[in-house]
Amino acid sequence: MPELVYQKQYWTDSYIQWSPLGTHLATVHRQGAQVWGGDDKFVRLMRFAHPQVKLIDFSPGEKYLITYSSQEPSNPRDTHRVVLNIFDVRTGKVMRDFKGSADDFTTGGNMGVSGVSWPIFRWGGGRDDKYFARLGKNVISVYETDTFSLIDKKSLKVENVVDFSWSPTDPIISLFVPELGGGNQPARVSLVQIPGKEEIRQKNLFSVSDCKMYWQNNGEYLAVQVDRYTKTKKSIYTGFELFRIKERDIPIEVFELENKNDKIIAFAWEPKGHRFAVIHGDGPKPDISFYTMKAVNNNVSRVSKLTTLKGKQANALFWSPAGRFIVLAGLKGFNGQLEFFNVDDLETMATGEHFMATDIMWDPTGRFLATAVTSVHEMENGFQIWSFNGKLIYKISKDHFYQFQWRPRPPSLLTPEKEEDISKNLKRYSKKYEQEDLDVSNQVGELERKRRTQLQEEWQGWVAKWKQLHEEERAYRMELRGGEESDKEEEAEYKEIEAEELVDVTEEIVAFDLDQE
Amino acid sequence: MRPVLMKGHERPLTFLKYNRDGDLLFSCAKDHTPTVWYASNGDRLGTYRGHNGALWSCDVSCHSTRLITGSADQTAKLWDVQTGRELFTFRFVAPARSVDFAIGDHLAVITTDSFMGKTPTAQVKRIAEDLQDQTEESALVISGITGRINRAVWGPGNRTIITAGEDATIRIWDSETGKLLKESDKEAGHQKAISSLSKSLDWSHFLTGSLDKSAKLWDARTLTLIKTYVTELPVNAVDMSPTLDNVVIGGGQDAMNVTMTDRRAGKFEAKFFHKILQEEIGGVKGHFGPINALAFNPDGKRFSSGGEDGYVRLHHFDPEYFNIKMLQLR
Repeated sequence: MPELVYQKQYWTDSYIQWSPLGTHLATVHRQGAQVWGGDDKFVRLMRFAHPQVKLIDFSPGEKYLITYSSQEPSNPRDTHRVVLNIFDVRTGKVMRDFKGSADDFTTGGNMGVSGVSWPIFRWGGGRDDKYFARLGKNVISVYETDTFSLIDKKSLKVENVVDFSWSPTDPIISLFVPELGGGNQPARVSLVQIPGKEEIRQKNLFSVSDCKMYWQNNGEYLAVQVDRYTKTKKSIYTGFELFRIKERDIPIEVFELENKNDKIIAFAWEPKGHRFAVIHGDGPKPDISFYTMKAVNNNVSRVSKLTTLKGKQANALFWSPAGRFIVLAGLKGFNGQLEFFNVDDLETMATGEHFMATDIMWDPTGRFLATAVTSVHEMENGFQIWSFNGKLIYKISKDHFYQFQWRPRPPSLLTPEKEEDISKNLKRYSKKYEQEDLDVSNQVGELERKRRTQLQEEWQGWVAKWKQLHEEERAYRMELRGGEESDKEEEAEYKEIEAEELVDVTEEIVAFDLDQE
Repeated sequence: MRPVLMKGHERPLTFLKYNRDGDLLFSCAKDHTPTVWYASNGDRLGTYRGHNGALWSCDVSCHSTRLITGSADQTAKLWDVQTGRELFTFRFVAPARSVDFAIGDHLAVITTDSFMGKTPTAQVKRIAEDLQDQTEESALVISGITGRINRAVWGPGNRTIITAGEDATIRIWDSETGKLLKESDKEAGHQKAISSLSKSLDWSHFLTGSLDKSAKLWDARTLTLIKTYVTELPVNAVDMSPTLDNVVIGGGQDAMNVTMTDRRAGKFEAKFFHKILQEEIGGVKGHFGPINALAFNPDGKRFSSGGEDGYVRLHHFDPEYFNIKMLQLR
């Protein structure tokens, strides 16, 4: 069961957000935002004044905080006034602000509730917090944090650009320009290196109706989902352009599902891995396919299918942050179906259900999954915690449940070599940890054990007393029964039968230097 | 193992009782027909016809010869278990509710509801060996309770009668004189109507279930509150395992949730708690409506549940149930 570490009433006016490395907890108030942190308690570390702030966003390395507000104009026919501030988190100083009308900030992307696609400024280049960029009309404005001004004092001109996306780890932007002139100018996807703004890779695409970009979280792969019209323009089929970013010349591989007319419901890269999952299909129970980027064919890496799961009640994919495991979830119409799937062995570990779940979040280590029902629904608010392999650990009800957020972890202290060693030998390590976990769950902790022993002893006291009284009243009872000795039947017979059942036979070759615990 | 579904009742179940040997299961429901089933496979053996109202409870003598039933038709009836023959009728001026045989089966306590100005009573009747000698006369009448008495049972050694009901208070009465001996503590006790009561094998302690969403374990002699088990739904039925340290609790519907429950087909759960640690250890789903009756088979390996949906479900415990680590902390 979870242990309450800290709580505070009226801590935030609207919502909370952890900083990306878990150092701070940010709260949002009418006057601005605040961040809290510390050892065990949460002490207020800094205030950021921004009246009527609505949304906030941290830079990936936690150096900066961007706050956003949108003022309703006094004349309803005017557009809203938008104010954005970029603060240095540690000092609280405003490094740069942006003011303008809402029109200036609402180009492209998905329109959110406030009419903007948040975050407006997207951070790039990994945890160094070196660059941030936003989409404008025919431009991508890229700023650097040395000077907080546009790189080379001007934006990157890209005629008709509708969307862009940073690599999660390197200063590379992928962008998409749709088809123009009724097919005269084809659509294209480009990769642009920052700060030099050179186009390092580019591909023209034809008959494109829509395009989505998915980066793998280590910046190793970029998948561009391209929806295309058929020649008759009556239906859509989908293909993928897979970019292998870290290979020389960034090869692009064209890939289609077996049935390219299948609608793509969800796509997700394995974190830190070489695999991806796709939910595809029309109809109430779509299929889920898994592919790897690392199949080799004639010395060339090729994408290859691992398996297809047919007819699943799923519409969302949640990979464990450590990779290897994935939860295939059916949210909304499927009412919270969960399937815990092992992608190494390609088999289902467990299925479960959290009726009406609205949110699903892995903890940052990938050991636990949280499913929650928030106050979107009137009833059944609360959250449940599952182990990575699908065992429900506990559930907590909380009325008016609004938000659940795992605290992110600080970056690993291991060198890349050690990390690779561990992931290569993961099977061996994980066995050890699984055993440790089993021991822990068996141990239950000293305190708990004491409590249980105490309760048991207390109970034994009652039982002994009752037994004694029962014995004393024996004769009386016999009389009531007309001389019948029926106490024997009253007491249940405890017979310990040892039943041995052959559960499973597995043969395993064990390495010599395995820790035998 | 898949549970056995027994559909014999047209209306919601109200009570379930195993005989002492555990080979027969008696069920009472709002339809007028108590039914007896084979406990091993759920086959129906027969029905007892004669009542004109809903059945609220029943009890069976220790040799499984006599069945006593309490009904809303203002009677309690004695039956021959094997033949189904109606042996005797106790008539009352109000609906009869709870029935319980004393040790030795020569006495029974029957409760009546409040009705047309009559207050609830608990009445003791002598049960004669020979039907010829059977009379309707009450050996004792306990009155003075304002709320409906949902359960009245005999205490250890037949010395006391324990009542529990709508006013959320458990009372212990002297079975000879009818004097009130003890009352449960108002603060620590239940806060809403007590719906159900189940005695331990040796009658030394008992479990009560209440609409206050909890079940409580009490010492039958001193009325000391020993344990409390907390659930999320009002409790309609409780029972204690005869062999292991666990209890089962089943419940019903919060009025607020009425619209919700339509979507939850088969989701009503019988919840199992560790008797000593008071922690939930598992649940068995399957009923389409609130659970109104629960009973462990005396062999401890099976239990049955009766629901608002009119079904009785017979469950065999999986081997894992017997191996639950918590249950083995001896």
